[in-house]
Amino acid sequence: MTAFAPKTASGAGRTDRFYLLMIVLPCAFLALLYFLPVLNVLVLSVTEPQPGIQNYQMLAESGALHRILLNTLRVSLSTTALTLLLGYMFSLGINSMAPRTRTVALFVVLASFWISALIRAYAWVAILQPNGLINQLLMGIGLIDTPLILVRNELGVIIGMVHYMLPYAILPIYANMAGIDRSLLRASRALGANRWRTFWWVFFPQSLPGLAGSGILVMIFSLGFYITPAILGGGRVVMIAEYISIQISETLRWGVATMLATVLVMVVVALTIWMSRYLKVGGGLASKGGKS
Amino acid sequence: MKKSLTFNGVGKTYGRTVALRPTDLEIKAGEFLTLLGPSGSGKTTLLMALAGFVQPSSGSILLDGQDITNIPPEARNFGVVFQGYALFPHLTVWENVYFPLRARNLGRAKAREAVDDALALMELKPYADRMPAALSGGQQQRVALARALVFKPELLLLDEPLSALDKSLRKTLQTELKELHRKVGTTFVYVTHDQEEALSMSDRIAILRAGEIQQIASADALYWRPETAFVAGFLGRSNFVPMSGATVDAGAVTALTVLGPIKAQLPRDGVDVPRDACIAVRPERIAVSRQEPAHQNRVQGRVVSLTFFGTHVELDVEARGTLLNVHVPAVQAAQEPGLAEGAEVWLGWDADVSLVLPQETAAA
Ligand SMILES: Nc1ncnc2c1ncn2[C@@H]1O[C@H](COP(=O)(O)OP(=O)(O)OP(=O)(O)O)[C@@H](O)[C@H]1O
Ligand SMILES: [Mg+2]
Repeated sequence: MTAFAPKTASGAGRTDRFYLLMIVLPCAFLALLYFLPVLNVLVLSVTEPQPGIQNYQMLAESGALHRILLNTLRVSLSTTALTLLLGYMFSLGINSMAPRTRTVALFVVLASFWISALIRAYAWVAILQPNGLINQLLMGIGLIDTPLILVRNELGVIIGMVHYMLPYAILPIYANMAGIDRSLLRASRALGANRWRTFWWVFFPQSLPGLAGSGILVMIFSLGFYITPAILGGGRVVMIAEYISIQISETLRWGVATMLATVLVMVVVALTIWMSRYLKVGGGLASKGGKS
Repeated sequence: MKKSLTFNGVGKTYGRTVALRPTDLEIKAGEFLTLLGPSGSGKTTLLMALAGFVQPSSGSILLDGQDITNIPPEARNFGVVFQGYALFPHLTVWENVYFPLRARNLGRAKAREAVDDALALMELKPYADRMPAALSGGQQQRVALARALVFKPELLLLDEPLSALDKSLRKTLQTELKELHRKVGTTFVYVTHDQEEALSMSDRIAILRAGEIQQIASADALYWRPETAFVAGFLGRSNFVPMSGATVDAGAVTALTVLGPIKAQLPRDGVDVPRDACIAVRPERIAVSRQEPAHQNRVQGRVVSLTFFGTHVELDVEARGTLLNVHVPAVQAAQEPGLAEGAEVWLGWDADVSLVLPQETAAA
């Protein structure tokens, strides 16, 4: 079991206890600093301002909440769809590159992880605002004469979020594509399918696990986005995380805030469980592909 | 259905690498042609040029006189079995075999009979609904064959289809493939680097070396009438004796060698003695005896080593500083008293089994 050959029974016991400790410590750390507060949030959601499920009833009744939830869902779904589309195209591109250019392309993808969400959001404001780069460019070449409204609306939020999520989508999609056996594409053509059909009949179905995994991942992230929509939405596109923050720090309605947080956590947990099933299917498919 | 194929000076270069020298080749309708050669000799390149995946740098490929050089692979109507089979992992066995018919716009219902027939031919009916990953290597190989044959291709191309299998399964499938060729009558072009496989299955074998076809002939013609030293050494074994000169008299050659003058033959009528030549003699064509034999060529030597192989005994005999490999049938060796290591023996063979062959051709 253990990496070290036990000399005596008590020695084996000691190494076992040592490994146990290595697991227990981080778990205790997580429990204390993460699960307890989450539990606290759960408890608060049914005790603030008084015990009962009145906070959850608001979920069904409050028009304001419905708008927030709908905003969140719509923005997240649009972000996911766009991110997947762009991520898939980009992955297709790097998948067909020569090894050396591919390394450069992947490096560019990874490099965007280094820049914080805050800085990226402000950069997008600078680029998208009425006298920003894009509008100046479009007016400069005479394509438009009044600035386009690209920011402080849903479009701006989605642009910022797609940009942030792209690397997270590209890596799993590309990893999956790289595992597809290229001789299958040759076989398909030899058997009479042209390039287009070969893509849709052979390549695309085998790239689905990566696409599904990416999709759920992006969706989970998007539902909880805070900084990007807060800055690029300019208060006009309020998503659930920003709304929770407002309830906690400004209106001090802790009961509503914790209720929404609980709902968000549950949705994310449900999606994660769903995703783990997909990833297993993906692994199965990949190993099948590898064998033949 | 049967069509003949012609290569007119088809060559392929990658930058400065010559994968295939300009090659002329005639593939007869319905034959089983094997491309045999060492690794890197251009077998796959030739096959893939035929399939349409390699665009030749020169020359043209004709199918029944029609130029198909620029026709894309999917429009050639050739069946291809790839090394490693390339079965589609996301499709069942049935769907894999249906694939080429789907590509020909045949609906599932219309294709059912053809697919089921192909599965039946390969004895795959019970596995129709399995995924390829749930099949053994031999079964996967049969699915690949069923898939390549279901649309009745004009030509079946196979690139080392058995190389991933273990030896006993390979033997069984070799027999099955040969049987299949007889049954379907399609032209087979088969790539292998296993000479036994080539000898046992093919109507004709093309021996490739360094991007060049050295010789193309039936198995026994290649074995008994090799035209280059490479072919003589690649198929089976041969003793090579370098020669320093020769006199020719009405087709009969007398070669000057370290073993003395040797009476020999040219592989074909009408060829000249090549500049850089050697004598090639098969080990089983040399007779061993204690007394001087009556053969046209005789040399005396000493047995350096003797190994018993059941059916035959293999001797290494040193004669005038040259080591000759000799195979003696075991029954005959038993009748020869005193045949042991260190024994002085006579070796004898006739002119018709010693061939004058070019040693190195232009390929290098
Ligand atoms: N795409 C390519 N780019 C550059 N060189 C290539 C390419 N394909 C083949 N070659 C070269 O062409 C030569 C012939 O290759 P080919 O694959 O036809 O050999 P082969 O006879 O099939 O060998 P093997 O038995 O190892 O499969 C080799 O020297 C190989 O390195
Ligand atoms: Mg090859």
